[in-house]
Amino acid sequence: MSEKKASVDWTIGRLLTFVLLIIVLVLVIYGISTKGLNPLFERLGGMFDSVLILLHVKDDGFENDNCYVEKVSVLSDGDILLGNLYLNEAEKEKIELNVCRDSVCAIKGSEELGEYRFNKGVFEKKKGEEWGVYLFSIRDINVFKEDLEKLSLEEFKIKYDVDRTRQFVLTRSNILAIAVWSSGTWVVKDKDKIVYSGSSDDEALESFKELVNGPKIFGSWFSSFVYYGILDANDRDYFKVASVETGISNLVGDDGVNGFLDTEEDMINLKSEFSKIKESLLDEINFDKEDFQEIYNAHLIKNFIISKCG
Amino acid sequence: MKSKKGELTTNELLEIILVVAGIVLLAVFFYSLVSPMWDKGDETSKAYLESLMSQIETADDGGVGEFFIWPIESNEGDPVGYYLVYFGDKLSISFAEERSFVSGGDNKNYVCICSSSEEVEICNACKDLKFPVILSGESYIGKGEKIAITKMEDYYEFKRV
Repeated sequence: MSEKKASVDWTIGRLLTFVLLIIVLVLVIYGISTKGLNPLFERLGGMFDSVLILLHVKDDGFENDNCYVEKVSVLSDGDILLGNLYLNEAEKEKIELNVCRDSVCAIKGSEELGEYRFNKGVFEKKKGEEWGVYLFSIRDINVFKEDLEKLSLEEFKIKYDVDRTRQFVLTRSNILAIAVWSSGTWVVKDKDKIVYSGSSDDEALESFKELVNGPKIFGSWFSSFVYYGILDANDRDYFKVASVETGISNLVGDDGVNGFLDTEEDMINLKSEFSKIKESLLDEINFDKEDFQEIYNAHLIKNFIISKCG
Repeated sequence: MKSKKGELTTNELLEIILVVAGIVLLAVFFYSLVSPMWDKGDETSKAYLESLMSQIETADDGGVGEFFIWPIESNEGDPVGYYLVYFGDKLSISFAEERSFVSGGDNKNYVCICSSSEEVEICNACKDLKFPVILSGESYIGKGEKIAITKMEDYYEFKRV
């Protein structure tokens, strides 16, 4: 049996085709290595994208030809924003940045996070169907976050004075001695002199008791009538506490109904009653940790939008 | 010629490659022919961008580049004006009340030639620069404005002249 060899049946035509192919390949390799073909590739890429956009296969990123919409996760520094937000991972993936030709820049996409935007230089949050100005600002975002994780809710509220309670006021009839509790802090004054300032209920009430009782004359306290009241956070009209005659005996169940704050029993009752009032006043502040996390999120979003939209 | 096993011969393979290349070329030419490719606003923007890039090359070589937006009066339907807009890593630059240039992409050291009509601003000719730009005042340069481009250590200075 004769041995068969595989052979190419070369003709001039085939040879020329082969040579041309090699030349084309050499030119392409040279073009790629010297980056000389980059403009051509870019142009072809642009044309290809245009065809895809024309055929609605690819999105040009513009919504209604007015807003450029992009997932925050793919934007530069987007991962930093998402990493810091108080939000679950699935929701983070939904967040989009809308950059519009009418100068409005908005963060949308996550129902849990809510919608925020910069509109004519004003930072706004969407509440229901309405946009409202978002005024809360944070001086130092890092300290705020540390405090949020470190402090108790009450301590946090006091430090940031974000939502003050109504005031609990104790006063002498002539208001020369006054003790005011607000948002966890007491200020006790003798005329204009502060005799106590701090958060200890015991110390504040005891120092007030000293102001309204004394000195002892012939073995008895020279006591003053004491009144109490609850005023709005910004109300400074302490005279009305004394004038409406809400005597302290109404609060402490005074033994002699004398309107004085002069016995140990009065003080025990006062402290007990005040702790209930304090609890209810603090409850009136609706902010909880999640609200503060929202404030923190809003601050991060505000800075992110500023960094992306000029 | 087919091999006995039904496999492609070298000859057939070459023909297929050439045919595919021809089809791709034809498709590109056909698209160029039928698509509304030529747009005066786009082409002018691209020309401005090419001019800017050549001036930046001059700056890269140690010289001082110059760039100028011509104060051309527009015809009806043409863009009202052209602007050199430096986005940097922003996605939009405020232009007028309730009007912004939008880059339409997340980039770095991004510069665009944008056209502005009575209704809208469009930025179609854009490029990422090697270095950031320092441009005092507004982040855009408009009709009749001229800038000198200088390459500093790690940035370009665009100075209005």
